[in-house]
Amino acid sequence: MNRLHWTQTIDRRILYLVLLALVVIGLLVPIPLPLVVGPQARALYNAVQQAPEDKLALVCTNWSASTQGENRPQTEVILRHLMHRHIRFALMAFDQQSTNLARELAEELAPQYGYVYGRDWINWGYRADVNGTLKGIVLSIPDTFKTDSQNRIPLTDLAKLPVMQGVHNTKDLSIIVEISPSGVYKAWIQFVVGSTPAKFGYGPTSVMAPELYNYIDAGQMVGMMFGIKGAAEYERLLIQDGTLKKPGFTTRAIAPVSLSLVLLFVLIGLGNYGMYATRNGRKQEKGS
Amino acid sequence: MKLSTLLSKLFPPLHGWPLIGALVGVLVLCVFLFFALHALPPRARKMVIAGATFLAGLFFALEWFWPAGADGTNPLTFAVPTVGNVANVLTAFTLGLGVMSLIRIHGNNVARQKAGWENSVVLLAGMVVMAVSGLFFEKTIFFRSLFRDVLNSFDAAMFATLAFYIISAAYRAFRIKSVEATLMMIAALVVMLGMIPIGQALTSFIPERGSFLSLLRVDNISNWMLTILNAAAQRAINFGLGVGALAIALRVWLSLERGAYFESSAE
Amino acid sequence: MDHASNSWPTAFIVILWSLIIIGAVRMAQAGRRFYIRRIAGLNAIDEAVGRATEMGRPILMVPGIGDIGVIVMQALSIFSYIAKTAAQFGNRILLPTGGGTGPAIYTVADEVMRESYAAAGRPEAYDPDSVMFISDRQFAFAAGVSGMIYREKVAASFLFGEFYAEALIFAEAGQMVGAIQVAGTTQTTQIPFLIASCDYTIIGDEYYAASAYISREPTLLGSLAGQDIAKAIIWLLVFVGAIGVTYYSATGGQAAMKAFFLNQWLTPH
Repeated sequence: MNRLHWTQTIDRRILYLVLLALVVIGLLVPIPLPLVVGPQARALYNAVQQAPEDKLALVCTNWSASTQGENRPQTEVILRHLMHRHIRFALMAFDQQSTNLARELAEELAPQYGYVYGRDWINWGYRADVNGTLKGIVLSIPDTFKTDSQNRIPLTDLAKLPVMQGVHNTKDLSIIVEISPSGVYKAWIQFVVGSTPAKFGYGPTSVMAPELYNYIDAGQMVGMMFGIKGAAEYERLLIQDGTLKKPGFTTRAIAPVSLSLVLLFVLIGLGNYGMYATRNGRKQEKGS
Repeated sequence: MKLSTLLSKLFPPLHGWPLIGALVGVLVLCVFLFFALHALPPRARKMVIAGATFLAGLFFALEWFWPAGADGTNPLTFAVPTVGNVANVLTAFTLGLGVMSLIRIHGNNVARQKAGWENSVVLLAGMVVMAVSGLFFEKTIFFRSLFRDVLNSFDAAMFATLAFYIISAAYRAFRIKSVEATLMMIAALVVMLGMIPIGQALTSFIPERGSFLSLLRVDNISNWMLTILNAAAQRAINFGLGVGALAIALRVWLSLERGAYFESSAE
Repeated sequence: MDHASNSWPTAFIVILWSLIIIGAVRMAQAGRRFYIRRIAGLNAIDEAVGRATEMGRPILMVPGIGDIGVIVMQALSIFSYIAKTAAQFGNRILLPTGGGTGPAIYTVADEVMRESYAAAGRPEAYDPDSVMFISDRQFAFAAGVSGMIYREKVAASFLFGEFYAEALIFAEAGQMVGAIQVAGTTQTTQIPFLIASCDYTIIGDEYYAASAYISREPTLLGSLAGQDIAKAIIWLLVFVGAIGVTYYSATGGQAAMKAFFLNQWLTPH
């Protein structure tokens, strides 16, 4: 059945065009889709919801512009949740771009919640070496970072940085959330998780999610929101508890993701159907 | 006397001219060590390198194995942030090395007008513009435009190409040619359906939990596959990788690699 | 701060495994021969180099974008073998480096390639420009390497090391120019993409076995044997633990499960 051979050899440019069209349609046309909140995102939400209010939360970002499609919404929902609960937070980064990108996001959200830099939030900045930095903050955060990233004020100057009140090392943290497209979580689990009562949550890109279930199962990671779907699930929970009034771009972005995967199903089905139909046709020709 | 106290006495914090003098002295010492190392015969050089490698790795091994007191520290714990800062500085130095390497290679391309030398000019010009604007014009709209509108956009665009590549790779490669491929395809299909709202909508009429029928919800099946089947396989792979990493770390630390990797055993 | 005194079972296991691995290495160095099974992807290396020689097109080797460490050193040892073979046949090689410690990897890779050509008896054939540093940024590196693949139309592509999202970009670019591709990585998240796009993929532990398989050096073979013994101990612990926990949870409930000594010793407190 040679007339079905085309199903196996569709020009990749046509595939790319169809995908592009579906993504654009999904972004422009609002498609209301039901969203089920997964147990991992719910666990992370509950951990942030129950985090002590009188301690400092640590949000570590390791993402750059390349993965901001997934990681920026994740960082946004976490920061909104923390700010809604009036928990002070610190930003730190292991990526050079990330320190600026996360800072810009925090500066954009802070006025909405009355957060003031130095009083309610702080940016510790970028560090190149992950292992050394994490080992350092387990012992002493001021000794590891020395000053904040933006104004170079010593972290021990509590008059100018009241946000650092009572913060010496990781034992004094409320919760730790890392948003990252890479495997930095291993260093956190190795060096930090056992040394602090603060729970550790993770926001990876979708592709990394399968390797993290072990750590959730072992209790070393309290929960995670993977990719933009995880961020959308978290956003749904924030809407339910009143932190957010209505869904944002994060929830709308699920539509193109869904349509792309539907396209994937169709193409895989088409390719396999064509393969079997062609094979059967050859068998029949040989038999006749 | 505690080790930290002794080291604080031997190496007190310096400021101003004594600090500059110390830095110059260390630089001179490093240059001297560099030439001394080069002057050594190969066998002696290997011994020096093996010794330095062993000492460098010994710190963290010793710090972990040394029993900690009630406060969770031992006599070596005080040095961990300092060693961490040293590692940070070394890592940052490699960036300078990268810049030098780029200038050398692309400068060479331009000087000799090799094929594609125009691209090297663009690279070098871009590097200089970005560095100068970042160092001296960081707060200006010029740098912010370069960072946000150029660099960030290009970065995001490259990552976005993955979506297209995944489509073409999956379409080309996912053929059911064997029992294993069939099982993989079914698992992939179920997990993907469980991840997307369109797939979850297929079984949304079934209660999410509290009923035996809940087991048939595609998102529950997907979650079970990820948390039980996938987690078990990941754990098995991680065990192997962990043991492998320990083995290689031991080989490098104890210089058992001599005669293994890049040199002949006869040396 | 975590120390051995917080978790003596962990310290005991680390010491036990270290002794086993070092012991196996010493036995191998003393002459004991260890068996290593066939790994299809590594057998394909010679085939790939041969194909590149026939086509007169270069060989690409990418050590990933991980920081300089054991994984990159493993990759460079495999590339050293490939480079020796390529040098013998007069094939051109391309070795782009990138990532946070890309410059450091570049200097090591340059030295490794130089020594490989010298070991193959062709030191004058080594082109220093064949090893290059592209960028420390992930996708700048991806753009540079994929551009190189398209321009040079590489005949064989070897992707060994730590790869993240850029793995699929390299693999698809190689597919488009018709290169034979062999990949090996410890990043489990990238394995599905590499399997879909590459001709041969080396998974998980096989990566660490690769250098032993290729070189048959006693140190590496002994290390591999030691690792297998350590994994057998893990298997035993998992088996005993699973049986024990299943039995006690079926008969004694939570309290009895907690009283089971393995749970007390092996779980963190």
